[in-house]
Amino acid sequence: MLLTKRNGLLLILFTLIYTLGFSQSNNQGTFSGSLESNGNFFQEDSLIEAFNTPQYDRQLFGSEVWLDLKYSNFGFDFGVRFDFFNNSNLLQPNESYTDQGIGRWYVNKKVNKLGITAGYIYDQIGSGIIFRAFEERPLLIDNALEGLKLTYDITPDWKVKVLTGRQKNLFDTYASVIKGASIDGYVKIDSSSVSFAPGFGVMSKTVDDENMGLLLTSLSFYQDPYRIDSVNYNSYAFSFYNTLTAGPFTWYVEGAYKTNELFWDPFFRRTIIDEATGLETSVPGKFILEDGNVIYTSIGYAGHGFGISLEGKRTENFSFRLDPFERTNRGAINFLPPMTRVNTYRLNARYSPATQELGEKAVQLDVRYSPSRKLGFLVNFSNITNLDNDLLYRELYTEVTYKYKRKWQLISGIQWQNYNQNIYEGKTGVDILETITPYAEFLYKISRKKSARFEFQYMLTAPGLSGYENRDFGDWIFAQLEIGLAPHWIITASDMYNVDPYKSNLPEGETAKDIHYPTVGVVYTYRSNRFEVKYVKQVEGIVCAGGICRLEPAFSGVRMSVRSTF
Amino acid sequence: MKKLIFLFVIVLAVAFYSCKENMAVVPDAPVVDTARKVMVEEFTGVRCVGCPSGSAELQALLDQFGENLVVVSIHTSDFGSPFPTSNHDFRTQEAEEIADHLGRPAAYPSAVVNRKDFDGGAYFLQSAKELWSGHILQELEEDLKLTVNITKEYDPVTRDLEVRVSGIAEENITGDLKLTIMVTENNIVDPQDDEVNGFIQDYNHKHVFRTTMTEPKGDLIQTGMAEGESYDKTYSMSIPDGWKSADCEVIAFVNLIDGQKKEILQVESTYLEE
Repeated sequence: MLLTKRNGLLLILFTLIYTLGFSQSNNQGTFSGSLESNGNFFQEDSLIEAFNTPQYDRQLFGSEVWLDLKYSNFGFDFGVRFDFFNNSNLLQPNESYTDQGIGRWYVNKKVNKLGITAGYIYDQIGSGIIFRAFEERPLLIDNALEGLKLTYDITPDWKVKVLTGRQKNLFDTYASVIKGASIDGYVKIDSSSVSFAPGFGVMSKTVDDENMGLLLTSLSFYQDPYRIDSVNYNSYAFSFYNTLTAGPFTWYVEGAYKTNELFWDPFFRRTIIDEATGLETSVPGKFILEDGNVIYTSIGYAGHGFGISLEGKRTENFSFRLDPFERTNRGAINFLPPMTRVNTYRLNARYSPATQELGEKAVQLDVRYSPSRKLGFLVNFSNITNLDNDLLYRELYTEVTYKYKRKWQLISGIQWQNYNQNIYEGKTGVDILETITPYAEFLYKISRKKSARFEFQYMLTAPGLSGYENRDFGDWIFAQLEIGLAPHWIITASDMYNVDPYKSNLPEGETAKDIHYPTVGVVYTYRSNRFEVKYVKQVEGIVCAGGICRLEPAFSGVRMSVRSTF
Repeated sequence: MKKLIFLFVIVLAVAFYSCKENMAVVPDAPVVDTARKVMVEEFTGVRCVGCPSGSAELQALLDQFGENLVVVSIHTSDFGSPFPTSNHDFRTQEAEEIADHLGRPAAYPSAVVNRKDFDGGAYFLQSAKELWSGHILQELEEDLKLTVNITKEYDPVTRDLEVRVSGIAEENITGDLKLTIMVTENNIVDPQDDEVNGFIQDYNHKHVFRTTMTEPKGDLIQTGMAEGESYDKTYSMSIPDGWKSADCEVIAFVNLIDGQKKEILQVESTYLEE
């Protein structure tokens, strides 16, 4: 029998299980794991445009399962993860994806000062600007590096790391090879509270022959003035970073540079001339050959009851992907940290900006002040523009927290947003979207075991402060009641309703409808098992996880999940 | 110790950046001379604002590849619902079946080139516009495995159309061979939303998919074919009154169903009144 890749992996698995059985009889080692599973029942609802996908049309059900198993013994760590996707809409929200297999395996061993990891590796260099291999299950991003990582402790405070391999692409791997190295240190100035944590990293990528062939063909059609004569296979990214800590102050700074490489600029306008008619068409998107850079800094102070942080980032041409054909959330080697507040309330989080890798200037200020245990204030401001200073995103978020003994707590505030919907969602012919969203959350302890939490938000679009007229779907109201029956039950009911509906770019004769989007759910937790069932109507919108966002279509149906750790 | 760290950084930087590579030189736009033809199935819709840019790219590719390229624009329900001022609804049941058969796009503009998964992976046939030219060229460089010839008879008065498709295997082929015959219509002036120009009332829709004379997923010719073996199929239909027969095109292609594969081996096209 041929030893195929899958069989090879199964062989490793059996070896692992065998080792496990052997060692358990000796009462050695630890065995742990976790299960995460989602099931979605799709119920077509043409009113909210939850339709026209294979799941709504005929499949009716989709699921995702991740089963993580980890075993440690003899100084080794072994891990294997089984992934199952059955008619899942997680990969592409309007498509169905079915496959299963070993989503991850790794072996880890420390031999004196040398650390060896082989398999699927999650890691990063610095803040991730030149390299980050990570997983975001809500968006089915799994950028694990399939290869080898070696670490070496030169001294207890100085470590080096080298890694090489290829990036995981579902149950396959991308063809381009990446390699990298970094050195991280820690220096404390004697008899002071000042310390440094400097680091340097380098990452490189070699485009595979097949993708290069495709690129060359695509480029061969570029006539002057767009002509590119030659392209490099290899590109390199370098990064210096340092954290300075002095008492209550911390200052992080990272500067990264990427050598010339080809990347896709979706906003570039190229003119195509039809030879037959002579007609000129302006087409968005073009391959660009340029170098790039990122400067990121964050300075913070944390004292008694007072904290402030100021962040700044400038990005230019920093699309670092396995090949220039990879788009959106796929095939990224790096991760550019987001520069806005991660909002959690439904309407406050409705318009979230995705990081712009080709050009962005961003600042964020966050101030927290708690004069007493009862009272807390927060002000957050962020501003993002492109390199030509055109506004992409601006947010002012305020929050006041008041706690009354252990009986109740009120969190309330107001959010103001300017959101460039054209850039973030690709919606055309629309102005900047301006919103004002007051919100409140009231938590009340009914008894030692019972609690009630009530959430309310109102989103006003185009309030007229800046003269922007875009209203997207119009004004929204959201209310949620959550009853907690500790330690097992949480029952929630919510409704999102566009009180003053609107739709941009509607053709004549069509009007926007006011629609309710109710959700009812139950969560049951028993020790380390968590069960959840929800009936959901969800409006089309941006879904973010870990600072990465995508636009998802409306959802209608029942969502179930089971989570367990063992 | 400091020297060691310094040395490591220097060695690292030099090792990574000192090796000179031979750059890949971008060739001139290819000139093809082959009997092989390639089929591009563009997925679009009148409400898809990004799609006109994809259609413009395809037009440029048609200028470049000429008769070696055959294009159909498939309007589906994703973006296809007509405007109040539209005279046509380009969506059809057959188009939906084809979209489901090939898999719908993740983002537009998107097209399927010769029904081939060029990544060789999870059988996503759809690809973004910057990949089309490379995929077309790659397919044109493949050997011709099977020929497709169309002979047609069309009566402009009765609007009856008879299409005969025949061909011969140039090498031994395994798998199910399926024949699909599509009818498309060119130059239909009707509304289209557009990213660049906004709503266009009088957009010129080209290569609009109208129907199939076979089953939308194709009719089985036979399983496997030996070198030199031939096939011959005849179909007929009446062209509906609303279609401008002078702008209608018949497209016939044979694809090979082998496991998950659906690759098109050869395609041919002709105008009804040519």
